Amino acid sequence: MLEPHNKTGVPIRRNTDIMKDLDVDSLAVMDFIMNLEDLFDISIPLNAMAEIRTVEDVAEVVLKMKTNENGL
Amino acid sequence: MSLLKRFDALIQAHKAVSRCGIDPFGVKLERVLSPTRAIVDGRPVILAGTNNYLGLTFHPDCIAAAAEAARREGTGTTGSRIANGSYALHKTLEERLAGFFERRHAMVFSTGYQANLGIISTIAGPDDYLIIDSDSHASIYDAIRLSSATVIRFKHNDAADLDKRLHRLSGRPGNKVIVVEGIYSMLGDQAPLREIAEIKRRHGAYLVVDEAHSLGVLGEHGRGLGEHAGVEGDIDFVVGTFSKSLGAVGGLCVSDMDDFDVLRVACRPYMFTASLPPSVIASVTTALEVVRTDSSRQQRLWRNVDTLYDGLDLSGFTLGRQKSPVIAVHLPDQETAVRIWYELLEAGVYVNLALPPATPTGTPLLRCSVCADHSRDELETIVEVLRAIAQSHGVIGAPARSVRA
Ligand SMILES: Cc1ncc(COP(=O)(O)O)c(C=O)c1O
Repeated sequence: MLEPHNKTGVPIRRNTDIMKDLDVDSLAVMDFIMNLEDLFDISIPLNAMAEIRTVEDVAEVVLKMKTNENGL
Repeated sequence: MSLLKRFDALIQAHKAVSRCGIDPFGVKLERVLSPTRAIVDGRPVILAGTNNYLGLTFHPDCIAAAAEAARREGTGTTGSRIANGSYALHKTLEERLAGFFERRHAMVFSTGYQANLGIISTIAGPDDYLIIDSDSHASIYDAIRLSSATVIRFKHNDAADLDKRLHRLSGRPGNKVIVVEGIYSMLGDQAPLREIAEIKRRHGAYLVVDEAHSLGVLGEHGRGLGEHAGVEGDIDFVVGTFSKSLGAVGGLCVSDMDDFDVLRVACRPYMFTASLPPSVIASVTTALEVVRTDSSRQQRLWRNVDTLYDGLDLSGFTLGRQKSPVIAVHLPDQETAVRIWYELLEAGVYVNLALPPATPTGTPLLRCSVCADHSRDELETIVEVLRAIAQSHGVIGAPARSVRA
């Protein structure tokens, strides 16, 4: 899901910084997040976006929203 | 590291745009002659990028009222209404706004940006939810940064997606506040307000509609999309601006909510900035009266929209899907867009250049805005000039009609 946005072609790993390493702009990040929301049937609040830098951060937020009672 | 170093990418992007010798963000209108004409770089140009939908910037009654108010009450209020007090003029305009919208309460802000910033950030508290359209204007995005609420975005104009997100929130305590716009400023499309109102009722949510581009433009009485869609009763707060169809500057919010006036001492973007000067209040009060009593401007506007939209459509351009006074011409890439925009200006036509990431499509747009005062000649000139320039760049084929056949 991230690969189409990848402009630098570096391999995507857990600690890849989405905006810096892949040169993905903020708008594309938003699109990517919306696709994730559809896939997992969750809403990720914009407030949580500030914590997202790497692929691992994304996974953590999704997991939190999916399992935690704070999930939306 | 120098303080502004982190803007390097922005500086580079700006340089890239300015490469063909002109800075699209630094156009100087030497002299504005009328709602549709100006002098730029010594050349006369047709203005088609000013949001001046009803052409009220030069209405003689508005000018006379502004001049008279400045002479009588001075050039500025030199402070906020909370600190320095309200002029009778402010109170009168608020009464007129409430009357115009058939609401119990009205509040005037110094800009539409501040009206969104203030209302949206203040009405939703830390335990509440703001659910906003993903293509919202910057003032709405900035409002959510100032707010303490949890913020969720739904897909642009997708009522089913909004419904799904509200459904996920059901059972949670806390108010849910939906924020949408009447006409979206980049593509000119309208919110599916009837569906949104139904969803809002079903989920017991609140609804804020920013009628910035639809005030005076939609609805039999010019009250915007809410009136046009027949759902004004479902809108809890209407926000708007004086800077477009009313031809001045300033913002508004109207509502029937109990205790509305508490916002005057809770809403920081209202409290901590100077109130509008007498001249502006006077011209807006008069402009509102023109909108209320003379629907011919709205009719002329929509006739002009037909002329420009159909002309561009027949020329083979890709446009925003919904006809509106904002007409967005889609262009393939930034370099072509900047060149076409510049050549248009040289040929005497001024439109807005919108570049990603400020466009919802991710592609550049030439954003044209239609005015009730555009003559048929002016609109035909815009179509002809744009068609010729775009053809020379291979954006549309020539001759135009065979492309669509
Ligand atoms: C949708 C929308 N809301 C609010 C505003 C802000 O209006 P103002 O120019 O009065 O600050 C604008 C205009 O820029 C707008 O397009």
